[in-house]
Amino acid sequence: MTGRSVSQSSQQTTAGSGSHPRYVLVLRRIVSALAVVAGAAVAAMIVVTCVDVVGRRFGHPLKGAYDIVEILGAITIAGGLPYTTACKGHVAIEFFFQRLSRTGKIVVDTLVRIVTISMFSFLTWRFVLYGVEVKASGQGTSTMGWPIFWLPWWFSLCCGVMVLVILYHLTHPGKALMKP
Amino acid sequence: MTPEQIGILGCIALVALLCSSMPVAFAMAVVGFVGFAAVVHWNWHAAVSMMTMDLYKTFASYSLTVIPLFVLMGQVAFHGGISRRLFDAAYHWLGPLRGGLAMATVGACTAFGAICGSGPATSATMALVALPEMKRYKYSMELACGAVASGGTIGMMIPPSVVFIVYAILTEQSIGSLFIAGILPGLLTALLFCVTIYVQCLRRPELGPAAPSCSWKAKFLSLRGAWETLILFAAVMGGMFFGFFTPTEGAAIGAAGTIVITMVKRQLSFGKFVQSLKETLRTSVMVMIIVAGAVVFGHFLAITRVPFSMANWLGGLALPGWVIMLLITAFYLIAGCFVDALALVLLTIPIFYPVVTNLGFDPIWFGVMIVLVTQMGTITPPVGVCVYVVSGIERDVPLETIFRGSIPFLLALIVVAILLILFPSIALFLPSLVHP
Repeated sequence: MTGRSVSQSSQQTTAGSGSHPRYVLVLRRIVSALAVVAGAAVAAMIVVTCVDVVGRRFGHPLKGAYDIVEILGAITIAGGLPYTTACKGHVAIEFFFQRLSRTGKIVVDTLVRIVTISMFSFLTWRFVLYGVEVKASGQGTSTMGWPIFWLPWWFSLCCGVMVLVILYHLTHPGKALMKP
Repeated sequence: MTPEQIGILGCIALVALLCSSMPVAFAMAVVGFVGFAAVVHWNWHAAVSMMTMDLYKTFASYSLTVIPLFVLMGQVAFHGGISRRLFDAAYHWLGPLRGGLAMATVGACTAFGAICGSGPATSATMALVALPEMKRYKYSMELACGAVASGGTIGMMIPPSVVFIVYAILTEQSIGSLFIAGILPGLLTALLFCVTIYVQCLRRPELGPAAPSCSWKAKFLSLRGAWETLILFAAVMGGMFFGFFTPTEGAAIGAAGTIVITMVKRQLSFGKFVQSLKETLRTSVMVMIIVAGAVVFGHFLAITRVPFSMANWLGGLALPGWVIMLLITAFYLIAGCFVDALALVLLTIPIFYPVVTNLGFDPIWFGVMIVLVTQMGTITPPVGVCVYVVSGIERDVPLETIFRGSIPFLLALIVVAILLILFPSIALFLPSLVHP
């Protein structure tokens, strides 16, 4: 499915840890930390759902399992977004792009990344505001009504890190921030 | 400008952005956002609210959590050696036939598809497991790689299937019904792929020499490697079909079962589990972000009313429904050559779904047809993802050779598509038994 990651895997290089400035290592650590949280959320989803299904058989379902899984799903996807981007794991159609001249490629790639950076910067800001709105309205999860104002802020954090990752890719053409 | 004109302009802008190599998900979100603002008379506040809410709701959607769970199930099965044991079982039974190893690959792909929801993942898994064996027995790499790339696509049709899940969520159809509808077409495809291999080897025996035969005892002993897949498939699908649990719960049970089985067999180390989680994250995020982009784009298209106008226009043409269906299938075949399978489904469902339902076609049957034509797209040049995956693993074989090796299987898929159009009950028979 990953058209870009498959077709470009042979051409891409990854930033080596030794020769790179400190900010690259820090950025990698942040992306890895978010990915660890996302991975733990996937594992937690399995545990919560299994406990709920087995508990239900014995008349003791896990209270709020639906809400917990919903929240864990959101944590997973947002937390894994910077990691997937850092590995250049998104689907893109490279067929026409690869036929451009070198200058054409640089111009188009720069424009595409600037548009993407603008979108994620905008989303970073909007999710902060959305979290404030949710907090003010007292909105909660769908069945238990637990507070979820922090979830848009989690999205905002992940979108912010996305901006930094795309910025790295913009300034280091042909390199992926992290190895898959 | 009328909303319809803005909608058409939006589609053109989307094509331009896609050609610029912008990730599909981001391109759909950008066009959806700007287009929505244009339709509501440049009311940016409304567009901002729409995009934030759409992204938030998609990310925090309970029904979509099924995707990472099924993907993890497949990853653990691969890292825990289940795929290798499946191939071994198929190899013992089919290997001694001419072209038997290629048939065994197709069989193993079909079985692995029962616990893995992605075609390219199935191709990658079987390329690692089956290609070294076929090389050892001096199989033509054209046939071997073609069988692995094409066999992997069966994983898209045999449940669980990521494309079915996404289609079900977008069109509000039952995931369970779509899963069960994919079983017979998936098995039919596997059968026709084996016939394709047999006919090729009958004409040119040097393509797939027979492997030495083994005793009946060895054959039956090899089946021990398939029991875990059978149990997992029966538990997950049975539980879903008979209403014991939801698709998300089924996926969680399947993932947990796969982890437990591979741990008990001491074939899943902590390192392999972490690797499975990493690959799960990448695949799931890649899928979910496209779904989120498609939701934003779909929202924009819906307010322009382009899909409905197109449905009315196509419905008003003096053409029989099946001709329009053939045209839609041809469109998917051609577009599938250039666009990734899942992205194509997400891009086009908002447009074609109203057309197809307007013409009176069954939405479940259409879901199966969509998966079938996107299967074709993954083995046709220039953007054939399953072929790329095999080529990435078997670097000595030129890409053209693998594409050439996939052509006979593409013809088999076209035969399956024709059979599905002529006999829709191939897809609808099993769902009618479960939900009469």
